[in-house]
Amino acid sequence: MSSSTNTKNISSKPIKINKWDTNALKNALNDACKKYFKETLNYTEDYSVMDRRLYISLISCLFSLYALIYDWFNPFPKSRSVLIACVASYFIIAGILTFYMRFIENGRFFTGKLIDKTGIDPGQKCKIISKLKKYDDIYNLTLEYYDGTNTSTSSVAVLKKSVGNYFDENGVLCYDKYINDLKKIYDQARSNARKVK
Amino acid sequence: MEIFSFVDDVKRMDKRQAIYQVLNFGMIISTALMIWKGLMVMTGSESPIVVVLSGSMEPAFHRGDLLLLTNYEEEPIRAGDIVVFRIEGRDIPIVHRVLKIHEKNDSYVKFLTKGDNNQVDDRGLYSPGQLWLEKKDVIGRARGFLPYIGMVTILMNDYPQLKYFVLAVLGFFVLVHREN
Repeated sequence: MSSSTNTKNISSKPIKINKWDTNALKNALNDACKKYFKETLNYTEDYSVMDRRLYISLISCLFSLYALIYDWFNPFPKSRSVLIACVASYFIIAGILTFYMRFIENGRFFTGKLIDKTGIDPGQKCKIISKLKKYDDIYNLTLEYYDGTNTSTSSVAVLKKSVGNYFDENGVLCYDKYINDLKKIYDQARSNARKVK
Repeated sequence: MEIFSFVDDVKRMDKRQAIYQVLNFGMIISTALMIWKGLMVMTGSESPIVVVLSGSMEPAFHRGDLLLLTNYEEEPIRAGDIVVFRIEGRDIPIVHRVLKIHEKNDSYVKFLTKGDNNQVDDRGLYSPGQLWLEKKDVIGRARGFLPYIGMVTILMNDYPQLKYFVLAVLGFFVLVHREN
């Protein structure tokens, strides 16, 4: 076994996780799905959903940092109005972040675009959402496939299987089994979109 | 070993995930900080929660009790109130009861304090030459109390290594635990 710390090497080693930790299970399956879409199907990942989340967190942290620094230089009674403004804005932005993560992002962990090299086809888009409830073993993967820029030609394919199908006794992910199922729903979504067209 | 499974988890994090972990840690700290500042603003006191450090107010307050303070301008200080004050030049706050006050028509107050469990008044604690305390020395008046909880703070202050250790361990777990 090579001991190189090249990231490609690490990702090609089978993923081993604590099989009782539902978070680790979901993350491992999500990572494997992303890897399949990026490396095998050659999708380029669109980071805008994640970026927006990062920006909202960053802005809220900046508010609290500003409050901290301002209060450090102007001790309490003088900084009262600034503190009120910062505390209120912080909690409002934290509320926006929770709303964003719960309703708008809603488990979506991959948004990808497939750009056609010949430039003829406008390209396909894929949005993948995964859900795994805390003490549940059923992994719900929803794949929304958009053919071309016309969003009316889209189709949705769902994969609902127990995580027991993909992990062995030691918590090692059986990559090939998982990819087989992924490929099935991807092809299913693609053919459905073509039919609608 | 299953305990170290998170090490692989960390290695598999991409750049954005790592940034999110740091921001998540920042948000936890910011929430605590904003709650503290919010309390400061709501109570009007620069230190709305203090821990009783000595036994000078027994049997009312014991060492390790937590006190909630308010410092509203409109409420005048009266004899019998329990105030938390800081003597100029020293940074440890003291929790004692007001014994006597002198008040002028323009509401300028001077007052004398004494711990319930002490034999003499606090003039021995004040700065040399100072015989009375003024409103500006007051951090707030005790409005509510929680017994025993402040012992954690006293422990952390007596053993600073314990404090840094606990904070480091908590911070490490927040940074490493990935929950999307």
